Amino acid sequence: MLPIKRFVVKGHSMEPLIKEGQGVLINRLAYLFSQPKVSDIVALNAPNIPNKLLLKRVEKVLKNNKYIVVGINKVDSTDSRKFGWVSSKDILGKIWLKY
Amino acid sequence: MISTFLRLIDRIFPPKSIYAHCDIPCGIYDPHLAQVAAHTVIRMTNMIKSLEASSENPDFEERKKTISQISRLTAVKEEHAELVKHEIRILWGDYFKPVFVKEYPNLHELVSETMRLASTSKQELDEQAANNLLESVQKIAEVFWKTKGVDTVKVKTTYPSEKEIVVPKQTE
Repeated sequence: MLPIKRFVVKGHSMEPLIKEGQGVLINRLAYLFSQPKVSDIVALNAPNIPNKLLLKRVEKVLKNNKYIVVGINKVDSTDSRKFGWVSSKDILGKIWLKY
Repeated sequence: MISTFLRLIDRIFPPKSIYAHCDIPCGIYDPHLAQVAAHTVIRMTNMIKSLEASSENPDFEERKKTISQISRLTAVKEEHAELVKHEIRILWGDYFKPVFVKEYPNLHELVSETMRLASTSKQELDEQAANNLLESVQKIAEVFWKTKGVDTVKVKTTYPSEKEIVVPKQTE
């Protein structure tokens, strides 16, 4: 398993920072020895949808390794406001580079 | 440099998708933007075609100016042809349901034809393709409003393309 993985972004919820069609590199080892912090852009498993990854921003760190994640473009985003907190085991990595 | 390299890699080995999307069905769809974009494609095509040199051998300054104009007009033409495709894709993917396709069996061909015409309008300087593109988008607009039980009317626009646009009919 490669530590860095390429993805192409679909959707507009991370605009204007990351636009639809842009590529991103996700560092899957970013949280090996640390925990996600507020403002980190993270890749996570979509709650209740197998094999679907989401790209969101950490807005709040709760207790017990739980996180509130939201899109930057809040008017066009499905995120913790809809599906609630996510746990650290669902966060797969941190954005390393966009291109 | 890194970006170019990564994009090249992506073309050879396409990456998986990561979703930054909204799956709330907001229900806000409108073929208006596709029509306006198609008008722009016609206008840009006409503007490029109407460019003329002042003589058989225009001087270097004039050539530079003309090249710059053509570049700008072409960029806008292509951008708006792509916008037509984008808007129609949204209607096709998010709005039109199988029941609509059953009711309007030509819808599939209409969407497909629109995509082809938009591509031709991007690739070439084809006035006919640009006009056909608008007509095709107008037909999709008519079907769109029919699926909502709304009658439509074609109205003359004030755009320099001097063409019509399909809008919902005003009711008293």
